[in-house]
Amino acid sequence: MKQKDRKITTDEDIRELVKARLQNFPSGKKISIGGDGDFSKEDLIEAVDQQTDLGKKIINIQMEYIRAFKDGTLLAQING
Amino acid sequence: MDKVLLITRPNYDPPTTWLHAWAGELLEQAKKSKLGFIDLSGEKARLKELEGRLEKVKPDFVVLNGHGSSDSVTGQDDEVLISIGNNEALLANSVTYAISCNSAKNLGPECVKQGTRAYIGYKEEFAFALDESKTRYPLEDDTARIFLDPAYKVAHSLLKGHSAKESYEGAIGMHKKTMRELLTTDSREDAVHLLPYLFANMNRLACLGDGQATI
Repeated sequence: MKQKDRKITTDEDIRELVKARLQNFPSGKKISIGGDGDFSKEDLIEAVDQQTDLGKKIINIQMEYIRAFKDGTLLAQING
Repeated sequence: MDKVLLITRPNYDPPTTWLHAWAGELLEQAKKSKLGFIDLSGEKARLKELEGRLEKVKPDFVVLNGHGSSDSVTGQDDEVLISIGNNEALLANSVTYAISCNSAKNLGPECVKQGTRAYIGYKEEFAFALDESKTRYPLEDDTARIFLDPAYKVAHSLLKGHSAKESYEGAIGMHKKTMRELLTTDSREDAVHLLPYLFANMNRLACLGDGQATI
């Protein structure tokens, strides 16, 4: 692939991906994460959008999972 | 002399309310065993109460529930209970399990240096999903149970006499089993949303010190 055709995943791409994943998080459920508190879907999406510390934590968790799923390490880990 | 379990169970916000309930199940197991126990629940989960009991009783098994940081674990109203450079030596000769964010990063290793036989905890944030409608009866929350049963497996295993490493590995195994079930079930629409946090908790759990330590 030519250098000019190569797509680079930007931080914004990642934020949009994570926000899209969070869109279908069930209502009535919250995520408790650390001492930050407990958060609804809307709270999490806003945190990602605003790039707060919470938002960065959520992105880390989501991307760690997505990458592990993509490269096969997740399935290898849980089946090992 | 009977062995003693000391457990802190703050209860002042939703996460600690849920942990308080799950830790209560642990106490029920302890009551059925020959283990003595000290339950620092709610307002008793404070520094003065904890330090006094640790100094006087020197419990064999300590379970710290609550919030935390890489350098500390907190109790009721986020009051710091154990922190680096302050009182980590009070956990010497115990096996300690901290269901608390980040503490295995710095506090855990320091506790081991100061004599804690084994310290099991989380290197980064511990996360779990909860159903808001279960605030009065957290133990009926089958969403939170997906996260908290594997987390408390560590403590239940230690109570049964397993070593720190066996208990840690048992908990990892339960995380894996739960993840396999979530990946293959059709009965939970929220499975895909829960998996990333369960995966993170599994990877963040750490067992420090003597893996052969038992209580």
